[in-house]
Amino acid sequence: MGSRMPQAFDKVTTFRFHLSFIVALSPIVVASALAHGWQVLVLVAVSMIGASVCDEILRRLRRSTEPHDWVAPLWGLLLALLLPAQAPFYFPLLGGAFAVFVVKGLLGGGGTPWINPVLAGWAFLQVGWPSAFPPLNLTLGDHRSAFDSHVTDWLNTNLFSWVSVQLPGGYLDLFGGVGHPGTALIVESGPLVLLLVTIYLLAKGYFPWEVPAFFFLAFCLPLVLTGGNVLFHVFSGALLLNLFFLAPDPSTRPLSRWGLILFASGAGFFAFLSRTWGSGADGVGYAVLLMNLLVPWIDRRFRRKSLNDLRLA
Amino acid sequence: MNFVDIVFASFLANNLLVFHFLGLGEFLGESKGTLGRRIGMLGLLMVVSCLAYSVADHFLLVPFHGEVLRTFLVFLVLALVTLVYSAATGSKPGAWPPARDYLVHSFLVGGVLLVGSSSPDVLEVLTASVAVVLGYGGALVVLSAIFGRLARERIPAFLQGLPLQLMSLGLVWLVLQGLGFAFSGKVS
Repeated sequence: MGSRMPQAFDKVTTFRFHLSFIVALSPIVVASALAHGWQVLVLVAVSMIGASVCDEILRRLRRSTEPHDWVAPLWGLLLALLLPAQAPFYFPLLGGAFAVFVVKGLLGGGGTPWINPVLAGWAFLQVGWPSAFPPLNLTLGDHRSAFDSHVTDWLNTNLFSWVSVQLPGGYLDLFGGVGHPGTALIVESGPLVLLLVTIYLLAKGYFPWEVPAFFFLAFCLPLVLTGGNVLFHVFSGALLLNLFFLAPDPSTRPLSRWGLILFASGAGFFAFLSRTWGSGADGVGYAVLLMNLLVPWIDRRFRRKSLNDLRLA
Repeated sequence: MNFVDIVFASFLANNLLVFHFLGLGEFLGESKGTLGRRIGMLGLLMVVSCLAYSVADHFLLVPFHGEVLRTFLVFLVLALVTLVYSAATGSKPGAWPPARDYLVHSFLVGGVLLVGSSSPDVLEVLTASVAVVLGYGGALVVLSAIFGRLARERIPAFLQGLPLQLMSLGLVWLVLQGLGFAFSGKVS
């Protein structure tokens, strides 16, 4: 998956690939537990164990002899990150069961579903219980921490005054993931942590740079042109998680480079639409899901040239 | 409603195939002929029928308070349109899908009933019908690509074919339903 062309000589196995994602995402859980309390840890543990148990049941039902690739705990972790911190404990169980049994078991075959299972489980929960998902935290700066007000003032007087701009209050809280009122997604606790671990994963080549880059461009350019608040929209909700972890998912992204660029640009543009004209809860996941539906078509249009196509004979 | 809303609602949020489950026969393999030609013919008949229905509704039913006859009017319009269609194409048997395929086609019957009566303005009906046709054709193309990929997956034998196609359609519905929620401020 993340390996270069002669895969047989690469040390990165699928198991190791998934495990490094789990390890990379775990600091966000710690940050969220510090912000929202111990129930976040229980929620994440329930989600990961629930998804793994569902996966094991599916393997037993199919009498599968494939090695464990640890994709189910990763799905559980990603699903838990998309949930609000105060979500009831049956939410991740239901979403994980939907992701494993319906998307992987019925629709996808052996671990290569055509639609992102995590996002499908999340959509299942959000369509079923729309009121449980908090609206985007638009009251920025009402709950500023002392750290935020001190550092923002210091930056404004010592740094930003040189270039005659002023940073409004509340953005450092948003960036660091603290200062949210009671209802926030778990992943909203760690934009800073998420960006740090993403540098490591990008450096290891675990996902292609085209997806985050063009997703970001297609999201931010229309936002700038229509005068939206770019800083707020990038660091709030599940945008960064979708950008770096859910959209570049190996089995649901296109194969060719132009396909990746088209896929990422479309997802970014629909994310922009859902943020600008959406109501309430974060709709970025639906933008990725919508482009996931188009991936088979994109693959058909923009596939890599094979030796067959060259008609050497 | 402005035209952007109409296009968005007809194309995505109220997609006839995925949201109302109309015209399923086109991808469940019950129809003959190439996909592009069938979508083109269906689209042409859809737009013409919607316009004819809208005009008839506006000038016949509403002035004489006959709104209860709307469903009847849909079939009347479709019968007339398919009559014209068969007169125009009937000289070459086999070259075109027969007209009886279209008379009770659920995409046309349901679509004309939904779109034709959605607005008293003929221009809005025209916009909505074109957007509905584009949404239907786009959904068919995307779904056929998805089914092409599903054919290469390892899937339990009892699910292959029709059950899997219908479940995939359900999953696509879930995505569009969620999109409808996300845009619920905009789309009724």
